[in-house]
Amino acid sequence: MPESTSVLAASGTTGTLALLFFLALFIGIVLWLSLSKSDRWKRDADIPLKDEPVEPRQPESTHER
Amino acid sequence: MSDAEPVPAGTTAFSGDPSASRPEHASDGTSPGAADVLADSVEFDDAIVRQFMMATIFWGIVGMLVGVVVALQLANPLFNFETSWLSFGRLRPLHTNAVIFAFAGNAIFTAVYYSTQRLLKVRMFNDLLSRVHFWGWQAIIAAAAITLPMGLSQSKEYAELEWPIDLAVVFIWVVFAVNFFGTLIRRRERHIYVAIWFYIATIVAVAILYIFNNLAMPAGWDRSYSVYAGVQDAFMQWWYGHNAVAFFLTTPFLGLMYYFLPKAADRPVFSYRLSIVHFWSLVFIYIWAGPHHLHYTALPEWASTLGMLFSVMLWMPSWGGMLNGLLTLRGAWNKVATDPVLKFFVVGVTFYGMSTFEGPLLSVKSVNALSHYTDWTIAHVHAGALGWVGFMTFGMLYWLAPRVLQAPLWKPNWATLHFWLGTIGILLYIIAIYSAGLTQGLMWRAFDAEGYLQYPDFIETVTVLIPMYWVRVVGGTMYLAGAIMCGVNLFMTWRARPATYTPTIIHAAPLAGGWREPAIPGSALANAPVVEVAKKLDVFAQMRWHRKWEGLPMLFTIFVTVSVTVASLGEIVPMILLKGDIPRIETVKPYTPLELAGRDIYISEGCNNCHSQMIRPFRSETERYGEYSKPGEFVYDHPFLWGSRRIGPDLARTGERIPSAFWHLRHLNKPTDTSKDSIMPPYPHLLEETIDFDAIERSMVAMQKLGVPYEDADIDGSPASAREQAEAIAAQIVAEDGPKGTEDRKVVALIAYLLRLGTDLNRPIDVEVEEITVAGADDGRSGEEDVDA
Repeated sequence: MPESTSVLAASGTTGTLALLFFLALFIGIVLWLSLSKSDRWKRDADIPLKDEPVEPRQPESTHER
Repeated sequence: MSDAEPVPAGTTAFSGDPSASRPEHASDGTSPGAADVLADSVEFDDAIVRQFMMATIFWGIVGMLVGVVVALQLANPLFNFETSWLSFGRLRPLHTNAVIFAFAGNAIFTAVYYSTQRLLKVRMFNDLLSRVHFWGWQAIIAAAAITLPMGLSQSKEYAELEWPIDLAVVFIWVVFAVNFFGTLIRRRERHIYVAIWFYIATIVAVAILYIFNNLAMPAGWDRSYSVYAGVQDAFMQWWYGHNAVAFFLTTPFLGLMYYFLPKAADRPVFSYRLSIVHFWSLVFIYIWAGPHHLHYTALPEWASTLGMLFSVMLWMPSWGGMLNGLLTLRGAWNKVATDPVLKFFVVGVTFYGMSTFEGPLLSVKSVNALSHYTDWTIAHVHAGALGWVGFMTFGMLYWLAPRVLQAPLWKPNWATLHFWLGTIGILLYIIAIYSAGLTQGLMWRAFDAEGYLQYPDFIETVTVLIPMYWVRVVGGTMYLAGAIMCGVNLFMTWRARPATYTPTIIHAAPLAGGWREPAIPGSALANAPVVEVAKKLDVFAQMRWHRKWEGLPMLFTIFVTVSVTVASLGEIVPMILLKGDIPRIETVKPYTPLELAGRDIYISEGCNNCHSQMIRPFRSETERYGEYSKPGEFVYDHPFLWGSRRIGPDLARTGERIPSAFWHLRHLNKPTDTSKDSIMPPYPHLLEETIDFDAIERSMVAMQKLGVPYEDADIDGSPASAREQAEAIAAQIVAEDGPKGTEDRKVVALIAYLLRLGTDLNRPIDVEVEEITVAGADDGRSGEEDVDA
């Protein structure tokens, strides 16, 4: 096999392995995100909802008056 | 009001139960004794939020109005009004700067000042700093709005502002940072929410990017030159340019999304864990992606490939963020039908997803070969800017207005109408410009059956776009009309504000000292029949280690800084140090004094906004423009002027292709005289204004300090040398049946520069450029050894 071809073949194998690795990593992250349950995450996610009432206040007297 | 003052009578106190807003989560068991600390009142500074909010919509309308004007100028050059300060080349930077730094910038600060106080349960660190930040930022915008139309520009995209304004930007950014981090230190909420992480990344990264890309050597108060040259300057510019998109137009708006979208939907964010993955992936990966803006240019191959690789890697975390946003609406989609705020957010996040898919796609070299320099990039940018940044901002403004102005929104149905006007406007805009981009790209590379360029006359590829440019005007006008409706709506809401604003007050106790994150519990798999590594992985996946970071914002900031810095240095250091990447070419000499003055005029008029100076190694380009560009041709280019689009043809070898001085004079005076149907603005003022010969010396001194091999004698004699070359060109114009008396006019300097472009490469090695003696240029290498063609 010519040298250039063997280099290509090697890089093809490496590329395939790298692709499989990153695919497995990606699937692992997705599974971890989907399956893991903890109250802590929910508490943290609720933080913005607890800082003040969602509904705006209405003015009792306006600037124009 | 002091943080520690009791709640005054008549004020509204949210979270009235002091124990309800304890700084640590009791259920964590993380803060022994916290409940013993008496919660006191904290009044938020909403006045600063109101100021930034109104500035956002005001500058938004201004920036978008300028955008419509420049769109009109492309559809019909009459809209340049033959006025120098209204020409496309000067207004286009004004449009981009106004939309990015004025509209988006003020929107970022609105979001940060509102949400930071609430998430950290404390008033901003210092009211004076808040005011200095607000008025300083508005003054910077006003300075940009004055100087850019005057033609004062550094030429680098989104970094055009001259050095005195750059210094002001840095100063105000430091003020902002001190105020923000001071607030963070004094916070009364232990845990820093994900939105704050994105704000931290924004503040840190923008500071690094802005400072290092804008390093320049002044040549007077109104002119400066980048300390980097050619390839390195191009690299630094797109390291900055791409990450301006990342850290000015993405991360702060993701922070905005993570705060305001849950608030508007009244639902917690879909997955907090996903936000962690999303955040760190973006912060580390984004910074590497800049070189994809320079595919097939004179940038080294390794940098280009690295940029592409990291760009493609960005796709998944970006979509993770998009899904996190959209899935936050689970169970609340019915609200979207009736709530204009959610409408804006949903479409905004959708455009984020679309743009972050398209970005990696455009970074792939084979796709980029077609898209680069075309309007495809412009469509991509506007999908992100109008769809993501614009709609997230409008959603936030409509949500905030009744809350911080404490009056009902004047016309809620106008908000819905605004949404539809904007959405249809964006679609018209981007569909037209995607069509224009594809048309350009395909026409530029088309060959006929005999193997010749099918459209050899560049103007053919311009005129075909005009109908699409008109559709863009319509779409842009609709978007602007929506923004104006928003402005009127906010203004009328503000007019109905209460006589006195009711302060927003909460109760929160100072953080207890000596806090420690509880020990990481063991693995749930402790007694399971699994290998030890699985147990360790299980503990790691609980991410208690990250939670610890979330309670230590300074440590968190250091990690962000390290992440951004390491990623930046990974590309910058080799780019600066690898001399072999930029082989010297013996025949490439510094510009003559007159050419240097002409180059300043080229920059001042913003010619690089329409013309590239970079011929890619494609047959379709070398057939049209000449030999492809070599890295060594740009070693004296402070700054680089490769451009990023071709509204007009490439000029890298225009000196070879069009050696007639009179042709250039006619073209600059009235482009349609030489190129029928040209949409280039006329520059008659260049035939009237005179060259400041004495100012050239300052430019040469600055260049000398930057390492351009001018000798002192060259600098001392520069006015005389420039006059001599100007007289020669004026004589050439007369010899070509042109007018007399142009030897002191700016047009002659610009022509001198244009005639020089691209001529060095094939110049015989023993021919000097004019009378300039170049010290140190002779390193004993031949002209051929570095030219690989």
